[in-house]
Amino acid sequence: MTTSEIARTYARVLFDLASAADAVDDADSGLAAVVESVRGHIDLRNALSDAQIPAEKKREVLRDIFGEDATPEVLAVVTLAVNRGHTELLGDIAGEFGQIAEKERGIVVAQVTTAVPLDDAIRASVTGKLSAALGRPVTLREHVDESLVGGIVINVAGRVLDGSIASQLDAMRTALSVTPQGGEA
Amino acid sequence: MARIDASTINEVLKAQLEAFEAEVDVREVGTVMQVGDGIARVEGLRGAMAGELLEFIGKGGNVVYGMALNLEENEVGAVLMGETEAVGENDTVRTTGRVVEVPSGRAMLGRIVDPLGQPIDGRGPIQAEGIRPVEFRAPGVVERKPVHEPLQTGIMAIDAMIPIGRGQRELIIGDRQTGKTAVAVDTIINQKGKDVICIYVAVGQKASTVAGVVETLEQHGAMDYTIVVAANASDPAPLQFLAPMSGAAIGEHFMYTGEDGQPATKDNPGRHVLCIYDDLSKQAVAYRQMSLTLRRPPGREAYPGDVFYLHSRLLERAVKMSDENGAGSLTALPVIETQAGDVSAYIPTNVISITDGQIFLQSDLFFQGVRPAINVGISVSRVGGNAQIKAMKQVAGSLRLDLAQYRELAAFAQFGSDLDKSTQSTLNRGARLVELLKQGRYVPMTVEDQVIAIFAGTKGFLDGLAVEDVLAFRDQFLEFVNSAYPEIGKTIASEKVISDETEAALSKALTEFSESFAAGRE
Repeated sequence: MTTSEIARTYARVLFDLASAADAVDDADSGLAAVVESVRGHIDLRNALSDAQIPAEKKREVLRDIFGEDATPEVLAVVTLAVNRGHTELLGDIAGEFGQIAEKERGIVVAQVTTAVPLDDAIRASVTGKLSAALGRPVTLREHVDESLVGGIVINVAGRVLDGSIASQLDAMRTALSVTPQGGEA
Repeated sequence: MARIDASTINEVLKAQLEAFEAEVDVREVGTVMQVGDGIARVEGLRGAMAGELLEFIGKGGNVVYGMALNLEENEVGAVLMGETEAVGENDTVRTTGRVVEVPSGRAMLGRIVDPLGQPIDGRGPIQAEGIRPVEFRAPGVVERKPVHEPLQTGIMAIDAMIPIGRGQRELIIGDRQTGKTAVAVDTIINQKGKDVICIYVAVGQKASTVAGVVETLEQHGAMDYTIVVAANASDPAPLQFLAPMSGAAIGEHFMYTGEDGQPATKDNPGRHVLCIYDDLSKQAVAYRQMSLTLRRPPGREAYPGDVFYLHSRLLERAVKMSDENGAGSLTALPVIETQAGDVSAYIPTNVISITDGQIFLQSDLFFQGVRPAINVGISVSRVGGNAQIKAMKQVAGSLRLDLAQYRELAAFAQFGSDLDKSTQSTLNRGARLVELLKQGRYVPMTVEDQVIAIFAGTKGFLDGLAVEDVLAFRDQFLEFVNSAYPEIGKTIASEKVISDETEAALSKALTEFSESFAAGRE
C-alpha cells in the first residue's frame, strides 16, 4: 500500500464514523486542529513518533490534549494512526478527508472571515457567487476577526481571495516603503 | 534647503500610490509542513511554478522569500533566502506569480550587490532601469552570430595563444593559489575605456577576499564600469546557488538593451558585457547541499543529476548577438578550482566540456616563477582565433610552435649531455620566449605592444641575450619604440596587420636598440 492509499483508508474510516454521528464538519475542524498542533510542537511530534513510549501512554496524551476540542471519532482515528506509527501521515489524512467529504456530500466548504458577523443578504450573495464560480454548492464556515478592519477573506479550494481592508493597507504600506525599481526589461 | 510643504508631500504620495490599485488579492496559499536546513516543505500550492518566488509570512508578520524547486503532488519543496529562523511550522506561504528576478541598470555600476540585486555596500538604494528574471532561456541559433571581436585580456600569454572573443565562454581552471582570480581581475582592469561592462560574481568566498578584489579594482579605476555580485561563504546556499545566474541576468539587461534603455536592434546596439563567475565549483557545492536537503537523489560525488544542466544553461547564456539583435555580447569567464591538479573530477570535466576552451594554471609553473602560471600546452581556445587581429596571428603562429618544441626537448635534455646545434638553439629560443611571456599583476599590455614584443622574440632578437635580461629588454624596448618610433605601434593598431614596411621598420628599431642595450650591459 502506498502512503496515499493508507491515508485514504484512515480518512474513509473517519468519514464513515463522522457521517454516522452526523458530525462531518466538526470532524474536519477537529482534525485540522490536531494536524496543526502536532506540526507546530516538536516535543509532541517526537513523543508521538517515539517507539519506546507505550501505546497506552500516547492514547492518554492525545486524550488529555485534544479530548475537549476533537470529536470522539477524530480522537479514535488519530490514536489509531499514531499507535500504528503513521504520525507523519496526519496531514495527508486531513487532506484526503476533505476530498472525501467534498465528494460524498457534493458540497465545497468555504472559510469566510469578516470583521463583523455576516447578515443573511450578504451570506446569500457570497454563497451564490461562490457556487456559480466553482460549479458546486458551497457551504460557508464563518469566522469573525476584527483585525481585518473591513472587507472579506474567503479561503476555498486552496486559494485565498483577500479583499480585506487590512491587507490593502499592508500593500499600500509596502508600495510606499519600497524604492521604485523602474519598468520591465 | 528647499522648504517642504504639505503640497509637495501630497504630490510625492500621489505619485507613489498611483500604481497602487485596490483590488481583491487572489493567491494560492499553503502551510509549512516542515522547515530546517534552509529548506521548507509546504503543503498545498498546487499551482506553484518551478522557480517561483514564494512569500513566507513568519512570526510577527516577518516576510521571508523562498524559491519553489520541488513540485510534488501534494507538497512543494522550497529553499529559503534570507532569515531562515523566522519561518516555522504552520506558517502561511503565498505564491507571488513571479519567478525570481533581479534589478539591473547603469546605476549598479561601481556597486556591490547581493544575488537579489540589493546593495550590500552601504551606499544607499539603487535606482534600477529594468528587472530581469534570474533564469532566462539562452538565445537560439538564429539570434546569434559567430564570435569575431577580440576581448583583450591584456595578458600576453592569453591574447597571443589562447585568444578570447566577445561572446565566448573560456574556463579559468587551476589549483588554489595559482592566480585564477588574478587573471580575471587583470582582464577587468584591461577593459578600461573599451566599452565593456564587467560583472564580477563572487560565490562562496571570504568577505575579506571580495573586499580585497573590490579595493584592487577601485585603485585601478575599474569599479566605474564594474558590478560586483557577492554571495559570501556565510550566506545561505540558495543565495550562493543564485549568484552566477543573477550576475548573468544583470549582464543580459545591458546586452539586450541599447544605451537608451530600449530593446537592442540594428540601429540601437546592445552593450558588451564580461561576466566572471568566481567560482563555479562553490556554486555546485551549494547546489549539492540544496538538492540533498530537498531529498533529490545523489549521483556522482553526491552531486545531483542535473548539475551538468545547471552549468550548461548558465554558460549557454554567453552569446554574441546577431546584428538584427543589436550585436551585443556576453562573454563568460567561469572559474573552477581543482584539487591537486585533478581535472578529471566531476565538476571540472563538466565545465571543460561545456566551455569553448580553458586556461590551465599550474602551481609548479607558479613556483618556478612563470607568472601568470599558464600552461600553454594544454590551454586552448576553440573559437577565439577568429577574434584575433591579423598582426597577432602573424607573430604568434610560430610562438606556439616554438614553445611546444621547447617543452618536448626540455624534458629530454635534462638528462642530455651533448646536444646538437639545432636542439640547442630551440632550447635557447624557448627559454627566452617563456621569459618574454612573464608579466606582473595589474600591468595589462596593449595589443600593439604585445605584437611588438612577440615579434622580437619569434624573430630571434632575444637569442643573443642572457635569459635574465629578457624582461628588462622587453620593457625598455617597448618604451624606446613608443617614444622613438610611435608610428609603428599606431600602424599596427590601425591596420591590424604587419605589412612589409612595418616589419622592416620594426626590425630596424630592434637592431638599433639591441646595440645600445648590449652596450649598456657591458
